[in-house]
Amino acid sequence: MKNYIAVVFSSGDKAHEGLRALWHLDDEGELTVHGAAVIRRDDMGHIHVADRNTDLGMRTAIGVGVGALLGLIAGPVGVAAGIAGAATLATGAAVGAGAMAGGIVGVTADAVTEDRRENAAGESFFTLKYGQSAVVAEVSEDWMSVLDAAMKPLGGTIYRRENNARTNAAFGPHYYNEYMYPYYYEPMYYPGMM
Amino acid sequence: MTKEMTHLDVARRDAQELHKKISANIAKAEAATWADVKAVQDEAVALAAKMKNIADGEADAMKTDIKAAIAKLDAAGKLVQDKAIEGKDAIKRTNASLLASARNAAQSLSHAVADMRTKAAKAIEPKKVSA
Repeated sequence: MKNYIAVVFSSGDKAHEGLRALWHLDDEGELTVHGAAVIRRDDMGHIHVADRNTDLGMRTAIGVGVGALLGLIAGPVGVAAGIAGAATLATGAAVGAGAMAGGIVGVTADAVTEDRRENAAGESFFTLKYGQSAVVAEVSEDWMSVLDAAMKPLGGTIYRRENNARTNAAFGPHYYNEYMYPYYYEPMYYPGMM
Repeated sequence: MTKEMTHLDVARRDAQELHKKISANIAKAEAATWADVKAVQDEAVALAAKMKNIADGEADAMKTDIKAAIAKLDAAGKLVQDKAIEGKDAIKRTNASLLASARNAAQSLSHAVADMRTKAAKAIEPKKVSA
């Protein structure tokens, strides 16, 4: 079964451990990871994508995908919430003014109506509370118990959404590609993320 | 459910490595050169050739996915060769295109790997016993 997953952790370090464990399962052939990234919601409510530590400054204004994916995982209410979330999303390298530039790109690219964004605003970040981090990924898994067993000792809470035509219809199948790495990486944390 | 490397696993790893190299080139920003681009472009062409062989052995749905990824790799290669626009902007655009192609290749191959693993898992799945 192909799933989008978000595994929520209490800290960035735990999320890093979760990312490592996820790719270890792939190495062992227990599941297959198509792409994954570590994200964090800071104390100001912004969501940051942790880049690879060698990719400083590589990314700009790629806010469209992560908010949408988080919303999608959260369910029908979260789909709208995710879009609203993109408005305050910051990429790892872009803090402050750059963060808002990313948000503007996200909103215009999603082309949602003002009404929908306002309705969703109260329920933004359904899956990720202030100060929490998460591993977001697209995976294929034959037994969900494998991932459950790996994440439980790390304290991770798993959210799943099936990756099918219906769930992808709202955003297109490749909206998340820009920020997910197709291999394990050492997440780089920036000032303001921790 | 096996650690044995198949031709799919190897190609997937190649695509992942290519993505890392292109990311590193992009991270060089203004210091990136056409020589850097050419080096990864050659690897992209080699990966596309490897994937063509793999696609032939896959089921139709997977074949379509892999062939689409090959087409993107080929197109990214041509962008380097055409380089109608000179300067750093052209390098940035070409690197971005190569990165998207490498990501696409890695993901289409990982889906093919997942398909293979699912088949292996089903083969060892305990059969239901009827009463």
